[in-house]
Amino acid sequence: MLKVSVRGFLPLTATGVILLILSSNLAAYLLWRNHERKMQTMMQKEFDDLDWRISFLCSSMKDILRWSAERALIEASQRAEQYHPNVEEVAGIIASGYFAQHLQAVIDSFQNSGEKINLFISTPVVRFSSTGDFIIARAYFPLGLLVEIKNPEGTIIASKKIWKIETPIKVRFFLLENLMDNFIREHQAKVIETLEKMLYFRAWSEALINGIVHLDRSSDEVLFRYAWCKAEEEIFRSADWLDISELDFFTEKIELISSEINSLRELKSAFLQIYEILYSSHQKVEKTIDGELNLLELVEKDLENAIKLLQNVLSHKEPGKISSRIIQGMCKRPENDAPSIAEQLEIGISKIIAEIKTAQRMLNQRETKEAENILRSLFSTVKPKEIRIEHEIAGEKIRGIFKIYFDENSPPSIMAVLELLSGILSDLAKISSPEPEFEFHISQLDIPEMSRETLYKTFPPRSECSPFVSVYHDLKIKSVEYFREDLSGVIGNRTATPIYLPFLDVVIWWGQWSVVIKIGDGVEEIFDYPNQNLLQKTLLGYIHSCLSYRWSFKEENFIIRVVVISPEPFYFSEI
Amino acid sequence: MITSVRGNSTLIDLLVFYVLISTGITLLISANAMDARDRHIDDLAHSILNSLLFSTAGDEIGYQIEGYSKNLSGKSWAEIITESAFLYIHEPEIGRKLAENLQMALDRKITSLYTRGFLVALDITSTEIGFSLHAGENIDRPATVVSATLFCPMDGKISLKVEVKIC
Repeated sequence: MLKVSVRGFLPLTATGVILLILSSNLAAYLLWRNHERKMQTMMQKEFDDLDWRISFLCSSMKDILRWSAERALIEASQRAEQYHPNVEEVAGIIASGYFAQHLQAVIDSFQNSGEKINLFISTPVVRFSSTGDFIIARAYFPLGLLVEIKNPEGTIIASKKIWKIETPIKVRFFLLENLMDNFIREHQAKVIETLEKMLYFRAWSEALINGIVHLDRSSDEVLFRYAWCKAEEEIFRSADWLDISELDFFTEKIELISSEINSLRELKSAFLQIYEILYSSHQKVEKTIDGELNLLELVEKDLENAIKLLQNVLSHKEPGKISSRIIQGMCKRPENDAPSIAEQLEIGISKIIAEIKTAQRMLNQRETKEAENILRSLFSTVKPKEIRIEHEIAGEKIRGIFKIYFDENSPPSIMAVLELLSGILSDLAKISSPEPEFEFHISQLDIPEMSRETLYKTFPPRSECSPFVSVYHDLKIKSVEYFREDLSGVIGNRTATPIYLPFLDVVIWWGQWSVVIKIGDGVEEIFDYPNQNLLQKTLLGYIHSCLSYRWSFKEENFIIRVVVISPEPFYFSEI
Repeated sequence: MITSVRGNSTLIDLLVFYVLISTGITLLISANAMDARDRHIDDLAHSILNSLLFSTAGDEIGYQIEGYSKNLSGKSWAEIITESAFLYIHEPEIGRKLAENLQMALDRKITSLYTRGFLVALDITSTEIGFSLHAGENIDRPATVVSATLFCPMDGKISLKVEVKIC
């Protein structure tokens, strides 16, 4: 065995012991360091976790602030006239209250979930400011808001002092406020300007053309509402036109027109039915001549029905209606000895019935040839007698020609009755054509009955023009009064006041009066249509809708003075 | 019996100690790395939860009622979640519509988040009212779970537990 004579510095045992001690120390150091690092990591993790909890709490507080601010804006905007010009300040005060109230609830909800939180609340102050189109709600804590969160062992405390939190809200409160301020400031001047133009235009045209000026409350009320909508359109670029279209004035007129059109339709339909019976009888008589003898009995029955139908139509009279006036005209004789149109029809059809009966009797007696001759005679054409007539309407004479197809001596003729009926139908078509359709489409929405304002709060109408606000108003017109101010009117005359101009040597007619329109409690409301993101309680339940800015107004008077001067005398209608 | 042999054995012993110590240090360093990774996942879960709840919702969130669109853009996701839960009990039909829409929007939102290869799931539950909503992946064994409670200002009785699971 080779013996290597190498002497080390230390004995092997000592070296081993030293190395063992050194490595044990190193291992112990590394283990201790690892432990320390782990502890530090754990503490850092816990601290991060607590820090995150604080930031989560702050984010939750921002949401609570937004909710509080939204409620406050909804409330304050609903009574804008009370808080003007400090609506946003009042909204801030309301929001402060809501926010303080809910902060504690947020803390409670955190503590319920196992957190240990100390929150030193000082009363927040909420303020609003604009950012672009929208607003920012800021909650200031004058004494600071100290949030402390401990870990479960209580060994680590994370704390943060908050002085201010802010959150954006997507509603255009300041835009609505500015628009409404403009409206309140300018609406009276704008309404009066439009209304004055319309009243002048109407009064001058009535005085110059008809010689009579109508002082009509219902139409002036409509003009006033129209002027109000025009003012809205100028300021908001949108108006509540539905208010005018829903007026009783229009509804009544539309109902009246609908009723007139319906009775005209009925009249036309009845004469069309009579015409069809006569035409069908004409065909049946033709077939009878061709050999179908059994049809004659049907013709007789049909014609009797036609007579009954005619009598029914002629007896149907509703005073004041156009259809009644037409029937009246049909029953009126142009001259004493000339039959009216209604009489001619009755005579014409009765004569045909009489001839049919005669033909039938002859057929029964096997006198076929004679019966055929009688039936053929019904197809003969009749040249009507013509008489000239004159109608005097509004002082003017209107001349026309009245045709007499049938009188006591005329021969029976189906062709003449058909011609007469064609004429009647043609004239009725001239009156009732084109026929407008007045059908009211009832909304298919399954919604409970609610006021228009409530409906708008839930489903605001779309606005087509920038800044896209929807408009609602509720106007209660208490009275429309007229005060004549020209001399003749003051002493109670209906005529205008004549004034002699000596240098011109002419007399002019002067009328002057004031229209005083008094409105009672009313509402003007605008809606932030594009931003329907606020959860609100409506009649349909909870629903997201937009912020509305509502202004209630008390009594307001609108006075418009109208002066008309005409070279011709003119009168005023009864007030 | 220890023979007087020196030198050769010392070298071998040193090598053995060196190997042992290197292995120990490697193990310790790798253990620290594991800790760092855990911490990273937790941070990610926290940031996802914050981002999911308190960022502003886009234009696609809303519902239709009687053919009329209600758009909730501008609100935070947390606000929409609490309102959805509130409507779920007070206006079930609207609440259902909004929750469906919300679930799809949250799915899209989670997909758009940069999660660096992690799977993310969001679970919202309210035991008081029986409301639940799940968005994102289906995760059975999450690497980490971060949760928070949302307060419903409309109705103090409703609280919502929001959990983010990451795998």
